[in-house]
Amino acid sequence: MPTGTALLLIVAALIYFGVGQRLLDRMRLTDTQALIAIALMIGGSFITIPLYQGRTSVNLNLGGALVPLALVVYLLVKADTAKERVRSLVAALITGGIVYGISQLTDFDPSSPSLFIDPLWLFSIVAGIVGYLSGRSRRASFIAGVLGLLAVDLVHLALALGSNMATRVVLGGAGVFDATIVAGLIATGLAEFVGETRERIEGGGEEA
Amino acid sequence: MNECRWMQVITLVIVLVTCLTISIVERSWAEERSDLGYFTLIDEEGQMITMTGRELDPGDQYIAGDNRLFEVVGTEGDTVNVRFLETVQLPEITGELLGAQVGAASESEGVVAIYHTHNAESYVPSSGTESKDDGRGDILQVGRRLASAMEDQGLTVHWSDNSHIPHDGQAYIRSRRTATELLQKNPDTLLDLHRDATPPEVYETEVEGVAMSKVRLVVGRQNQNRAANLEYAKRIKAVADDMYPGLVEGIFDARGNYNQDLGPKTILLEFGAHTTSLDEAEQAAEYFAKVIPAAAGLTASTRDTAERQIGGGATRAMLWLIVVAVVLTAGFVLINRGKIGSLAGFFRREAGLGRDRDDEDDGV
Repeated sequence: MPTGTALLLIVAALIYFGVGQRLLDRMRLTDTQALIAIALMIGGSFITIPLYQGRTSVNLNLGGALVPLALVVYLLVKADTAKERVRSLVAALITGGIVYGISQLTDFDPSSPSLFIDPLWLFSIVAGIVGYLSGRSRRASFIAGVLGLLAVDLVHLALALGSNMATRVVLGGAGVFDATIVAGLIATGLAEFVGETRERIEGGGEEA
Repeated sequence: MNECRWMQVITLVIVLVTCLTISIVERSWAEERSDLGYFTLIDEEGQMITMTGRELDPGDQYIAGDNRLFEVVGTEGDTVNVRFLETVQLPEITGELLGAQVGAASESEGVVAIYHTHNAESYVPSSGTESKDDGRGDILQVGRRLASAMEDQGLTVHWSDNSHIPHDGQAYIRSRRTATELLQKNPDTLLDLHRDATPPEVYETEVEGVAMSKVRLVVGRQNQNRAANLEYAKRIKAVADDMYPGLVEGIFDARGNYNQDLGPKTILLEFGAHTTSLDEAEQAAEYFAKVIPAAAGLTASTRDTAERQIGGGATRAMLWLIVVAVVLTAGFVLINRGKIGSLAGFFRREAGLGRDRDDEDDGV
């Protein structure tokens, strides 16, 4: 592999994992716990568990689905109030609804009318906005991103099973690079950025 | 629930309802477009440059078959107005290519991975439909033919016929999983095969007296690998222009990601349009298979120059990535602390050298 190409891959991975770890550590995880979570996502990316084999096969990737799902459950359990839990779950539901709606609006294909931004980034932004609006919280944004995208996957799975579609569904199949995790992390970063900006504008930025 | 909370709930409901309403209205429009709609690129002098089913935005760029670079300035109906920027100088590869051609076919060595985000895409003249409901579209046969021809070149090919149907906005999210699985096989290049949606004449060509479809390359701009992938696309075109003039229609450098953030030398290829025959698309695959080894540097005589050129794009991309990361971090610190002088403390804390900030929370 060319040196430039290798360096690009290494730098991009370091930034992605580094920023991911710092974002997780802002959500009731210690530095070490956040590091372990990222490591589990990376390691789990290589493990896909077949759940059902048929015309529609159903599989689950550990790093892309199970680990982020466990994180979501942990955040929900650690939430201060029932209201916070409800807000986060509602945010996930709304994110899932909007993402599904947009998915029916366009196929983002190079040979078809599409929106101005790639779905991977667009869905992440949607999760960030909805999560922040619903609870003004990084945790709600992360939950909205992960659960929202997973909910859309489950809708697709239900449709595939319902119509006996010949397809292989792999929940979280792209592992640590799966849309569920990318959306969760970008949504969290967006909430952090918007929240800090808002606090700065309102004159309270010293306490992050 | 106080007034503020009610406003938030109302806002969310409005956003949701609006999106769903738009989706229902726009869906029917999108289907009409996929049958007959296409855009014609016209330059300042009224000359037609090409046609595409792809919707283009101001700023998107197109390298035409004759290497003229155009930039989109706006769209009026089905006409996309473009302005000529310059004639692009493609990489000089004649000498090294001669070495590759003199060598035996088995000289090629490397791993190629192929998948299809839109696996239902088909060719109307051959199948009577542009898309097959069962997901076993004609495009799979093009991919299989490309894989087989590359194996004949001595390459190891991992071809995936994984289905990502339906052809909706989640297709790229689903195919991302296939792409990631293929990347675990450590390919030298990752190809996503599609077909376009234009009138037949756009992709008609003849190479060495054989009728076949042209191939268009699409590079996504919305990812960090764009520079490296654009260099790769230029190299593919340069090799194809030398070996089989007329085979490559052009290069779109357009918005989108197309999962090209997953790595350099990942590219989207359009083999003809829905109006092309499957036979012509397969012929194109047969010839294109001989282009990839030299373009991707998978032959002894092309390895060094390919690495230098594509690696150069990757180095530029990496430097930009670092600059963007630093600027964003500095911007965040500025917002967070109100002064750039806090950067040292910020990095000390983030590196775990300062006070433990585990208690820092978002205070919901």
